[in-house]
Amino acid sequence: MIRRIEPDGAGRAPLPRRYNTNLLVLMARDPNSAHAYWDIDLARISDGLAILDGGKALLRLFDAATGESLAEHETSAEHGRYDLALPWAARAYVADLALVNDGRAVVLARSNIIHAPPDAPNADKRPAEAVFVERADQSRALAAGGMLSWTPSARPGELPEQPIGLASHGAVAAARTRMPRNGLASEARLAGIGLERGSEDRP
Amino acid sequence: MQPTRDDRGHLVVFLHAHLPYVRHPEHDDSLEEEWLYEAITETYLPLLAVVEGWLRDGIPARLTVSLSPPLLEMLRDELLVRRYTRRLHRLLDLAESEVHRNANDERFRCTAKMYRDRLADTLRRFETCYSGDVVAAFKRLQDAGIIEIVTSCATHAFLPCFDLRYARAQIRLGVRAYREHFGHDPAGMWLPECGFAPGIDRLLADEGLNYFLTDSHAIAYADPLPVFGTYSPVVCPSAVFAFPRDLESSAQVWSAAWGYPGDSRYREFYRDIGHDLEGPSITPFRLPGGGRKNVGIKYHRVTGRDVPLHEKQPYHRGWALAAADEHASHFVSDRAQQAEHWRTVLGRPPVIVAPYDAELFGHWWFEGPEFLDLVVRKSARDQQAYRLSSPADVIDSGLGFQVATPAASSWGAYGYSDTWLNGRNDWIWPHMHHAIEALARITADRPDAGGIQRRALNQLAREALLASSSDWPFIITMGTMVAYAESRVRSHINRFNSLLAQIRAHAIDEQWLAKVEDCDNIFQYIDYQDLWPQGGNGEDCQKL
Repeated sequence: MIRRIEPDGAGRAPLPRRYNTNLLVLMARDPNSAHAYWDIDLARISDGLAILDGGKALLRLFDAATGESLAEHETSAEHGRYDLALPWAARAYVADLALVNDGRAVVLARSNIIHAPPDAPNADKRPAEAVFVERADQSRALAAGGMLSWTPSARPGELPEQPIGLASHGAVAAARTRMPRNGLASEARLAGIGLERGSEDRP
Repeated sequence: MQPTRDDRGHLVVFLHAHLPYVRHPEHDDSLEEEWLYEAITETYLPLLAVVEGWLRDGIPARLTVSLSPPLLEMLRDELLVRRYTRRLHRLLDLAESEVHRNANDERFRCTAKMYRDRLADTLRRFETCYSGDVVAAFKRLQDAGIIEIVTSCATHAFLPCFDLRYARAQIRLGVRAYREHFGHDPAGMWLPECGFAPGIDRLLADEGLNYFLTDSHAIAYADPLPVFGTYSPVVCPSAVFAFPRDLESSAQVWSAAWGYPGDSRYREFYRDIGHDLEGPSITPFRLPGGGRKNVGIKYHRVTGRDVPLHEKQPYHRGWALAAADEHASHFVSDRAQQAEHWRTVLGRPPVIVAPYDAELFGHWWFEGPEFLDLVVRKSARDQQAYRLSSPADVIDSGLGFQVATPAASSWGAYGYSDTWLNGRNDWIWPHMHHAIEALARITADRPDAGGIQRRALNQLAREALLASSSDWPFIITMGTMVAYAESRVRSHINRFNSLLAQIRAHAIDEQWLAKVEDCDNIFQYIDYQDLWPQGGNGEDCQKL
């Protein structure tokens, strides 16, 4: 029977409780937390429990790069949602939902990989070879449907001793790519304006 | 045209105009439709008047405006335009009666006349000058070269909460909508809520877009680190420019704690005669159940941050305009100092990007259009440290730009996805993701549907698109109009699921489909296949 909800009633009708998608979805919320939800078919859960001769469901978080297990949370196997703490910003994570019993596990669903955003400038990402391009380079790249790359007209700038972006995390010695050097060090304290986290003051 | 080589910095003033798609043909007097009507009267028409004034007076102005596709569609919807005109006539009648009612009240007499005169002028301009077509009025100003209009995602979806495949569909249809309304391709895109994650830039490039805006930390945390900090856009490896928001200029206007709009002389938003007035003149503005609502006529000023509404003092237009003048001077002076300072530090012209929600100007902050007018006029007349530019002007200025990938971010609270993904609204996402996945699959399964199947598939796409507006989880988080936002999510998801079942069963109820098409009629030109250039499945399924 197909449910036809009249336009006036569609906003009041309840939504489906679940869709039996057999999916575990992981969503990066901020540098330190993620949200997971899942919806597992009952037959799959029954099969898993039969294999293990019983067991409990765990939501497990892993470092996506190393496979290291980072956290386990006992939960419902069928469907649910959970907010996960992430130990590090700017890392990739993956989760699974597994039935476990006596050291054995049956994975019911594995999540997508997420990338937690950075929460600070990463000093490891200093521009060793800063690439600068001009409008013409961009036009060429867009016209070619490709990516910007080293082309004869793309050229490195003079390297800064410290990029402007690091200002609030330490003294800026200079930021002198294609710029005069005088007076820069004394301006370091002001260079961090762009690093203050914006408060949400929207009226 | 600005000189291509110039020592002055760039100030990019950017207004993002957006409202969720709200249209209720089934109700003659929908409270939520008034969001649009209020914005036309209080923001869009006043902004048009301000820009037309610059054009008339030969001011070397430059303003960038994003008009979101839902807003464009509503501004050109016959039913909404008709209802707006009717409302404006009723409001003018009310304002006229207020002039008589306050004729002997020194406190409010001038303010009542001000509203009457403004509304009469608004009605005249809307009907006579613009023939009811606000979009065409904006287009004329773009054609005159004084504003640059860009687009946004199709239904203002917060892209970091979707996979790249759906982000592509949102961007693609956003460009298509712009083309439908303006006849050419947009130069740039406002990413809803400045929501960005690496990979989205590639999608923008694929649609031929040149630039987008981010919050400041997207650039401050970029990879590699930006040598010019947040005082220059960067170029993504995908060849699209990312312009960072300048927090200093933003906070001066936005901050609830110390932003300009909190000045005691400005008009108080929350005290409205819709709630104060008794008698028959306000009756037509009552809600169907007899409840009260704002009508936009407000006689009081902010007075003080902690002053309760009933103790607010009468509004004095002269004082308010003096405040706008002072604040515009302050803003221009600060930007000039900022530009001069950073020109010295960087050794090249800094780029200061000041983006705001357009509806702040005029609707929330009544004197906002006058402030903006004065900022532009003073910028042109009173300083030499910066010029007013659009992002396209900056790109064409001859500067070199660093190649870097911005960091995932948004301009919401805490800078990431918290506002759109939290304990109050996370129930939305399983339904949303299921709908997107189902839409992609059935699109791939039915590549050449015709007749009623095609109509149903197009409507299916509309329902998924309307459900995914960033406004619904935002409203739920903010705790305002929660019931309405929840109802909209439920209605679109329920209609989607019903349609999906009918399409799969080859049993489409045409009469019911026609009703739904009438209710959710956005994007009459939509083609469900065009959303998914790879047939709905492809390399973009990765969650962001």
